[in-house]
Amino acid sequence: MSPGLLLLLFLVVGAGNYLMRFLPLLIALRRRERPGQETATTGGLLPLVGPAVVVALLITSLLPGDFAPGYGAELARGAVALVPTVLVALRFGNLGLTVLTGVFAYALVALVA
Amino acid sequence: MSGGNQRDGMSPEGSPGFAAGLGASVPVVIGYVPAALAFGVAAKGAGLGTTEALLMSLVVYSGASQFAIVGLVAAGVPWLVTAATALVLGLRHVIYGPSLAPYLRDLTPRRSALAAFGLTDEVFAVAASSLPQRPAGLGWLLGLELGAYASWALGSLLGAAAGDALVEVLPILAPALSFALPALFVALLVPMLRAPARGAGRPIAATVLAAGAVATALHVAGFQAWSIPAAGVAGPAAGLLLSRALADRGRDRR
Repeated sequence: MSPGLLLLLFLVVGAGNYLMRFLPLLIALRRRERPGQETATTGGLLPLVGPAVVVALLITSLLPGDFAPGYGAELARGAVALVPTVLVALRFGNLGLTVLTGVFAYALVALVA
Repeated sequence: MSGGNQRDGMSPEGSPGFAAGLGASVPVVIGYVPAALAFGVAAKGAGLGTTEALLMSLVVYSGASQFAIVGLVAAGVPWLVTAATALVLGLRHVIYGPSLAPYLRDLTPRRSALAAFGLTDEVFAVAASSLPQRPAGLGWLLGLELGAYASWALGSLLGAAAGDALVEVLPILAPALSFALPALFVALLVPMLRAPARGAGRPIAATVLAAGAVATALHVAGFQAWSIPAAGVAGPAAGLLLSRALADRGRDRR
């Protein structure tokens, strides 16, 4: 792909991604400005979107992308590293410490298996 | 200006400000740097230059879309197909803004044009876990977004320029760092499940179970691009249904 086409590709995808982030936010803010809309949205579905998306992000980041050889081993390494990660999150509730524990645990598991 | 507020990164009005947002970005930075390094290495492997890899991170700024572009460019896929694939992967972003809007006090439609650019998965996850307990202003969100954006760009640059050498010296680094993002999502999910608002425990549990089941099923079936937006709709729908059923049962008892 030529450098010009590559740049066009970045601009098109960048603009598309930006609009997918911006337009729904803009619409939500416009609706918020109308009386009576806020209670309907905050009291219903929206407070549940955060936990739903975060669990989906967790699962998709843990599951390997395809069923290539080594799929099971990769899944098992992630599952084992998840145990100390969850324990540290439960015990300390510190984001940075939890991330570092996860990385360190995964490195140890990868060294062994 | 009070020293205490400055130390806490609070805005003069007492709500978390830009400095607090920048501080909140640290766990995202820890997760982003390795992912961005991996992206830089992959981009270089696909034949892109260091400048092109950095430019993609600055303009596209979406990990999933960027990795897809690198793979498709390397495979020689036509650019229109590549663009369409990368855009489908970005569909999940449509649910982030509306779910954060109620908690951002001073975010007006005009200001949202700036805030929307940095609304990535991880920024959303941090904001969604923090804002319901402690609503903040635009400054906090911009601080969070700037920390994340800078680390993504710098990590991409480093990965494209020197990633190969880094992985050669420390071969265990690449797989270990790939676990940074799952660990970040664990760190964000645990407090959401531990301290739900009164009466919200069972609806949140139903939400998480339904979202997890939908995400797993679609991911395993090969519909990775749809797994997050579908889970983001199906999970809350299940939680809301349970919440209404519990409320109806409570009314019947009275």
